[in-house]
Amino acid sequence: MDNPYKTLGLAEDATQAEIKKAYRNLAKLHHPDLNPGKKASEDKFKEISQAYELIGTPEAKKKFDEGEVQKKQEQQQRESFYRTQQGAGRYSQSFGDGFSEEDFFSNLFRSAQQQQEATPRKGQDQIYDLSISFKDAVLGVEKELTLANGKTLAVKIPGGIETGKKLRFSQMGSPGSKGGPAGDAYVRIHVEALSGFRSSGDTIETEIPISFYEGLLGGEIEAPTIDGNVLLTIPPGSSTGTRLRIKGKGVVNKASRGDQIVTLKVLLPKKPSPELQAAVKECEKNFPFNPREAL
Amino acid sequence: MSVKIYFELQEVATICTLPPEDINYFVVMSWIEPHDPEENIFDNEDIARIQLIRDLRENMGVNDEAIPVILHLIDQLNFIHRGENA
Repeated sequence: MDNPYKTLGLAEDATQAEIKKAYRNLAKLHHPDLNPGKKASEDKFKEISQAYELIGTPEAKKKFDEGEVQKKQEQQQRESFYRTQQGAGRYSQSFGDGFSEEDFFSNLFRSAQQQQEATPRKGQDQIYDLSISFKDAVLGVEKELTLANGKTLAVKIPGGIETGKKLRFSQMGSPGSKGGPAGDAYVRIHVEALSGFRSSGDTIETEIPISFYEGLLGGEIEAPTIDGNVLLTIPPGSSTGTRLRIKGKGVVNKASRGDQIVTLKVLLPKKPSPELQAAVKECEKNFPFNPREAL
Repeated sequence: MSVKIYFELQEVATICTLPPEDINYFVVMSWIEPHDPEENIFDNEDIARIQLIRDLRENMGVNDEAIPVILHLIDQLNFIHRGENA
């Protein structure tokens, strides 16, 4: 037998996932029951099955790679299902003498239908999309949703939920058939963005511009939070990047609540007037400051 | 002429590398009709069909709803093919 890696068209350092993928692709192509009567396909399928048995699982691959499986190829000769049905197979005999190719599809669908009728089946799951505001996502909210069957579902959304999270409501989906249970309803959350606010875990991050004077002298400014504006004290000597914490204004996390972190950004006038520049020059003379002194 | 050999559930499970519960499930779903349903005795046709089902489910990603449709299709193809070869 050829090297199993070669048989599956792989390099010898192929990963387990690559091996499985290659096997799946080849098996779909050459499975003897999907290619009835084609000897070449049957042989090829045997070959790739044997190759996959040699390297298809991490344990088998290890054994093979370590050379433990040498010429132990007396593998049990697998008989294809197709072969068993040529001559007097039980499974393909049930179509009787009157069977024609015209009956082919009607038989197929009848059989599938019978199968469905006989077995209790769980109903289909249903997915609903629900958009909520950033504030509702942070604090939690209760919303009402009308289901496909006309019923109203009270959706309790916990604080701190993120876009893409799904809430499951057991057996609120499509009804089952033949005594099977109903499917589940899933509510997929989409959180609308709120300009200037970003959540990360139970923290809310915002950025606030301050003037050169406010940074230098410190003071109190109004800072927006999702609960409204609050007074924030800026310590003297605050620069761009200074982070200040507002306690208890973050994301709801079970019983407690996280904090809001405000990052300051010192902004200067884009076109400073000659008078301002002259005044600052004067100031610089009196109070020299070099932030790169330590470099 | 091929000689018929018969197998018990545990033997089939070993040959097909499947847990016996899976094979029982195939029988309950009517995908497999054992050679002797009362005694749960299987023959080589059953084994080949179980291996086919295992291939479809495990290696080709076919879900359980599609299995009976595919089996039925294959049975009909085999029936037609047998007629052509006769």
